[in-house]
Amino acid sequence: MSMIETQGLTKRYGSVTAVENLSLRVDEGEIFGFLGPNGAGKSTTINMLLDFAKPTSGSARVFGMDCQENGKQIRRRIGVLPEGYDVYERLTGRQHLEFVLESKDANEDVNALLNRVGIAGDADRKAGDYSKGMKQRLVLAMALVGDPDLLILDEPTTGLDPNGAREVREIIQEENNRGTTIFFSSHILEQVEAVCDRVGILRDGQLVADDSIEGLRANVGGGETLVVEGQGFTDEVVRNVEAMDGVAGVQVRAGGSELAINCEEGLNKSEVLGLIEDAGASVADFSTEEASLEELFASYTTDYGGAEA
Amino acid sequence: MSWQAIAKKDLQDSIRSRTLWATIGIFLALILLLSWLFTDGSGEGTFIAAAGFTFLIGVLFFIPMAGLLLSVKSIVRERNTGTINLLLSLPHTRGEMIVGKFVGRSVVMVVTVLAGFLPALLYIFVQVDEAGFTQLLTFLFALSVFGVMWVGIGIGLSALVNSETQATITGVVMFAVLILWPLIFEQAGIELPSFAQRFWLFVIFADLFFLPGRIADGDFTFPSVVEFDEVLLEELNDVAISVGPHLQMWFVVVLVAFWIILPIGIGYYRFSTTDL
Repeated sequence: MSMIETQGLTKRYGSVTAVENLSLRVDEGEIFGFLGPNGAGKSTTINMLLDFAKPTSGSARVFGMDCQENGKQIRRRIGVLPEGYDVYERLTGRQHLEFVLESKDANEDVNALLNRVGIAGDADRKAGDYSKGMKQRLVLAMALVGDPDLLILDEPTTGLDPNGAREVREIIQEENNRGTTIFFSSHILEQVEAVCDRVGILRDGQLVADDSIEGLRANVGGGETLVVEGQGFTDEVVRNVEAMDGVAGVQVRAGGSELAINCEEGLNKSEVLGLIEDAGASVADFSTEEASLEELFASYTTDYGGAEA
Repeated sequence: MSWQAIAKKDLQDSIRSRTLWATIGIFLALILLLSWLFTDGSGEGTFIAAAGFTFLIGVLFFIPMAGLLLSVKSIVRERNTGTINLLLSLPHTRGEMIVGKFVGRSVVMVVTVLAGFLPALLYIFVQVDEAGFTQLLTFLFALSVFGVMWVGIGIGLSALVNSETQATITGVVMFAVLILWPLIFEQAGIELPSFAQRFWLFVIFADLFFLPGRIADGDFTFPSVVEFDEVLLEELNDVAISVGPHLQMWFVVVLVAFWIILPIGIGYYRFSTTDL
């Protein structure tokens, strides 16, 4: 069953198109990473799912219900960490959670929730005095109230140190293990890589990729680089290797003593090495380099990355 | 219930607001001062006369100002700071948010009115000879309803505007317009029909004040204060006058509803379709 489904979703502000013809589907039980640089339209998309903003055209559905018509019913079953929020300065952390419990007709232990996000000790302080990271943890606790079927988290790791970000990812994983579907936006691929089953990349309001991380790597063609050290890497060697299935490109580097082979992950390496030796070259050593996530992300979200294929 | 949760949250938030306590403090000080000035310790006069003079200024300025002050930023401020993103990602509709805010701020308003006026009223109560306890209560009742009307106007404006600056400006403009419009007509030489005059908030206040007494007398068809001349004439000539329902005093209930529902309705119409 699809938890989130958008079709041709478009949002224009005057002449600016924030989201263009977005068709997206997130299935039950998935952890979906919604990626894109700042300003790509991630938050606008989420705002349309929450009925904070009305689509210019197209449709957005959550649990099969229209986001504009059935907003309240939808929001009963989701937990949200929205972007650009602020807490109620004069209310304590505990009062925030009590408000959510009352709003969602839930009956949970406030202390346990606060404990889970690591701010139980500050429960009775005014939330206006919290640090950015503590506010983020408080709102995450608010999102967890009522055991939601779907968590929509807009940049949940913003404002957190690496340790805090890891804790948030652990909470996401725990919730997912309990059957909760997660929709998680970020502008940093590393943040979603560790937990996401599938990633959608948004660029200038358009979805430019929708795949698993492995799939993305393979698509970019920089999935893996096999580096072979040795001698005698002639043009013939290069041609033979290039002709192999699963090889995207071959380069001679380091003054002829290194052969760099762009290939799919899982390519049979001994076969490649055998082929190189058969063509008259000698192999001293070999290693593999993964395309860094940063490169991968850049290739999807900038013009010079070469991922247009 | 959604609006109840929001109203409760709003109350918890408001009672920690320094603005609120400052408002109540200023209220209290000014009104006590006025009561002291108008009763001059002689013990003469009636409760209504003393309270009337004292509260003319209170009713004219303090209550509308306090009502607007407490409400005109309540929704737009949540939009500005982003707390609304937390509130509306919960299962609340925008309409429920408006109702919750209206109820929450109305409670605050009534508390402000009681805290601000009750000490002064009690002072007058013991100072003047002819003071009735019922009059004290009807006065507080009329003041409270009057305050709640201004809260309704403020909430409607708050839902309508896009920024706190706009809220302040429209609040000031509405304050002036709603207080002055019949006077402007009068100055321009245009005579308003009695029914139109009934929409003036101060006429509503006067009707509200007299209404409980009329109901206690069982006189439901008694005319509004805008027909006061006719009433005097009636007493002079001993002829019963009768006016249509829209000019009878009880109709003030409809007018109060009008002044709460119209601004909130307009605000809601815009707020429910706008992007946050």
